[in-house]
Amino acid sequence: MDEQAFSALYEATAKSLWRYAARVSGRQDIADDILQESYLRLLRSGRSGMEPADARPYLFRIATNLLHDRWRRGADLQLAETVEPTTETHPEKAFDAARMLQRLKPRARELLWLAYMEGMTHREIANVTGLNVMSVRILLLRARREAAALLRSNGKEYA
Amino acid sequence: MPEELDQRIRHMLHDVDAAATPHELPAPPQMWSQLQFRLRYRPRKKADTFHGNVIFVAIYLLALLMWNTQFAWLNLSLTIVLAFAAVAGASLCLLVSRSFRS
Repeated sequence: MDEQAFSALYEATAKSLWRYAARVSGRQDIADDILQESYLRLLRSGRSGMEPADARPYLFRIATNLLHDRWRRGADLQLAETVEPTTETHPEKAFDAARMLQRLKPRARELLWLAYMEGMTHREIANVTGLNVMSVRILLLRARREAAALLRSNGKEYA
Repeated sequence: MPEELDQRIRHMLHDVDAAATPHELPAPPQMWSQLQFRLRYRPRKKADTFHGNVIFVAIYLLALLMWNTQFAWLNLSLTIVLAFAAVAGASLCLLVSRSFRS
């Protein structure tokens, strides 16, 4: 892969990949590491010639595996990111939302993000997470229930 | 009802995203050069150091045994140590060649 092709791929995928890693891990420094490591692994894999549309799920899969490695090591994923609302019109509401997300289990955060923010289908999520489609369906259902309970307990803003 | 819940979850995730501290990603050329550096100069793995230490110990033992060959039973030990050193050396070569292939 040459620099021009890499730039096109990076422009198309980096932002959403970084947001995914940052929101699921809850930390920007981890997201930075995961972003760089994901592209490095893509370049090393010999699949660097693929189109951005094909590379995107592959990059998400690498990022997900890296997040899972961190969970297995028992590292850092329960630490909440310092949320500093800036342009938000209702900062206290956004802060509550961030705290709610951090209270979900990492797996639930991951699945909800992929489904709701990345708009992935169950099959695409299965490819990214290495689960089968049925497990994704069940785990996503549980994640929605967890989120619903949090929204109910916390949620005059989201009612 | 499920649609309403979907809406609320999506709303919550959007709020989280909107509220996070703005963060600038490295520009593509910057990321490209960082990646090229990492591809060319991969640090040696810890395993290499471990295998290196095994070889040093094996060589030391070998030298000691060769110096003390007046005992017949040492010939067997010599063979065993040589075999270990050969295996350790071969696996180290494999690891090093894999590490520097990029």
